[in-house]
Amino acid sequence: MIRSRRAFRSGALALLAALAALPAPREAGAAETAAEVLHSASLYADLVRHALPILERDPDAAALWAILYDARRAVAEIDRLSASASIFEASAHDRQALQELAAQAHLRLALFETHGLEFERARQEIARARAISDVVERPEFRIEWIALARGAPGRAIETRFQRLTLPEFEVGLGSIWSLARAVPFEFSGFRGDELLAVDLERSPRAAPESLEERLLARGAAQLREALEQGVRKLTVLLPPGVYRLRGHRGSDLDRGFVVPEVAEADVVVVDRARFALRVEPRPGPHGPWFFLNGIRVDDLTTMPYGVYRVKADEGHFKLAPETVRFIMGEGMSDKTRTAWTIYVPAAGSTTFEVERVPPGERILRK
Amino acid sequence: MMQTRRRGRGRSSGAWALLLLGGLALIAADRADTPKPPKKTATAKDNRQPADEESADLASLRNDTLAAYNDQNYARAAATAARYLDLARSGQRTGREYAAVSFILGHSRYELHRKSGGRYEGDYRAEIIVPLEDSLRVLQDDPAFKNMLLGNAYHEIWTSGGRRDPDDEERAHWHLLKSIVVRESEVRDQPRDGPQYDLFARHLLVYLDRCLDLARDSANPGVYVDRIRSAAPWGFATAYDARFWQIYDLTYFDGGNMKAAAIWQRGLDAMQDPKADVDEVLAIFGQAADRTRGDHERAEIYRQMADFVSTLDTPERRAQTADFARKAYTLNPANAEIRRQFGSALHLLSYGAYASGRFEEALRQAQEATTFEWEGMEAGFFDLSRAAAEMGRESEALTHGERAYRMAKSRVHGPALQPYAQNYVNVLRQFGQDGPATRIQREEASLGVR
Repeated sequence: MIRSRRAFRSGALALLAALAALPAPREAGAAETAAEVLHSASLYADLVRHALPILERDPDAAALWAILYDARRAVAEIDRLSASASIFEASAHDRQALQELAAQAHLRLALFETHGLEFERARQEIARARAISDVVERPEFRIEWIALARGAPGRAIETRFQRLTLPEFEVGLGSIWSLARAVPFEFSGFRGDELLAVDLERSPRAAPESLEERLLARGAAQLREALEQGVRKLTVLLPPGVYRLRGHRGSDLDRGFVVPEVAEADVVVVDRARFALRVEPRPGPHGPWFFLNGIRVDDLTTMPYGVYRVKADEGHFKLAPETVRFIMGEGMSDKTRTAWTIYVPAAGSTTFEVERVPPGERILRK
Repeated sequence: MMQTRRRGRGRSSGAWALLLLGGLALIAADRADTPKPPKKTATAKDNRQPADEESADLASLRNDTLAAYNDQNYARAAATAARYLDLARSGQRTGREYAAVSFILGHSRYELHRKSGGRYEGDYRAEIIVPLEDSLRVLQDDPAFKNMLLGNAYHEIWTSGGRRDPDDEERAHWHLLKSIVVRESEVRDQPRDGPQYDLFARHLLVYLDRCLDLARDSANPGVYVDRIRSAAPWGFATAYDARFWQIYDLTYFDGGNMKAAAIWQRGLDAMQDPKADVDEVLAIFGQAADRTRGDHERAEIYRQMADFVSTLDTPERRAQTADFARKAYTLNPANAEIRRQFGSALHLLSYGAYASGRFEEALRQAQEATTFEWEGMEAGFFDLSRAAAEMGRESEALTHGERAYRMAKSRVHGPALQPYAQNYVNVLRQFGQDGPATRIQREEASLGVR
């Protein structure tokens, strides 16, 4: 790309001229007719659409944040213009065109939100698009999913789009959303400075620059931010994997948990307090076994509080619950067929009792 | 830029202020029939004025503010606006009138700081940006100007904060972009060669220049690729078509390396400024080269640096020219223009050394200039021949003298050939080859070979 100095000189002169005179062309500046409203809205819609190709260039989190910033503001402008359409007595045709434009913009924003790991916002944008225009539900409706831009110096950009129906679009987004699961946390019993030093590790390690790595980084940042703000009950989006939450060196804050790929994650209770659990009958080869956030707990004398999944051989135990939540303090236990809630005082103990299936019954079952 | 803009703004804001005054008069007339709030008793401790006196004070301050603003007396406008807002706040007054004065406050402080330059003494965000934003939430008239102003204010705070805060950067960009979008809507039906579109195109150039400025220090320079590609086509087919294409093409530089591209463009623009310090311009180009990843793109930057320095005809700059040209050649030896430039730079160095009697140095430079093909290479052999002759290296002097002459004869004609022919004749004579010397002299007598 060799460029002549003459071209630079004329360019620089043009710039100087631009800098030298900038009176406003006219006073009003705002859209004044329905046609102007539609035109302005289409300009903002184009800004969002023209930003789509950047998603194919593997933008990092900071770049996605910048794109999202523009996209959200542009879509807000479209909404504002749509809302004012009636003031300008827009025809039904123009109003419909505006609504379609707005709905499409919200769907594109959903794509950006998803890439920006703002999954809940993405869902809201889709709902908003549906609320704005029913056109998006039509079988012939298509929205951009992938945009590949090709160009060269001195030539216009050629952008090729892969466009999907709304159901296809949602499935596509859903496949990204499912890469992270909402993990509820509850912190108690640790000082603020201890919590600020926590470090979240995941196994296996995510590939550099991968979506998993970004999700993990974002989840860790959300966790840290919330703890800094003194929030002790929060939900963080994390990719499936085995995690370890550890405090600073020498701290007894050390909590492992699993984020499952398919099931919902149980609340991760991070508390210094422990209790002792007596199990009747004593755990044997047929159980019962206790899993805290996916990790089996064998030492029943120092159990962390939290939600435990109970595994027991149904042939040997009657009516064992699927989950038991041990809550620190005094309270009335609550037992349904599948879920129990048991209150245990700090450093206290409790008994978990399940009925053994009589041997005769087991023989008859066989 | 802003000086002229301010003048233009002065005219339009005059009309705007008249409209506002008219509106306020209507509001006042409207309120004349409404019951007045009960009067409060003023005490020594509580020195508040009765409500009607307070209103009168507010009206007076408001009128003073508008008059000062319309006269572009920003110091007075800022002072009276601040007093108005204090008084209005104490009376818990808000609304359009408050928003209008709030805008005047922010804009006047902005202009005062812009005129005085340097660091803002105070809290720029609280004292300039917040009043502007508060106003814009209520009064959204003239959005192109107001958003441009906010964009500039955010750019100022981004710059004064070390050009690092991504939030300020995004706001600086967004508000300026919004002002451009509003202006585009205004001229959408205008011919691109018409005066209104011309004005828009100049605004657009400012926006694109701002994009380049932001990209230079942005943590996300890549986003400006798409921003520039989206906006630049609005300026095609205008009087500044070449500049718009230049900026548009910049987005392809070094595979979309927008930071390097923006720094490079800054260097190119600085190069055109006759007042610019040469070393500062070269430092900018150097930064661009450091940021550039592709060999060919870096070579192009070094080529331009060499080209720029070659126009400054001093011995140090000649050496610098050759250094830059050598870097360009190392990175992209296949480029004919780069080869020509490097060869020419070495020729000039050799020529200078020869003229100063430093024949070994002249020979060394000439030898390097003949290690690669370039347009004008005969000059390299000419230098080699002359320097070798001075050092008594007969074979080299004769061989290169003949080669330079033959090569020049196939490429140049007329007076341009004379030095080559004369040099060849000279070295032939120097080493006792009078016969061939006489023959060449006769052949090229028309050129003035002696």
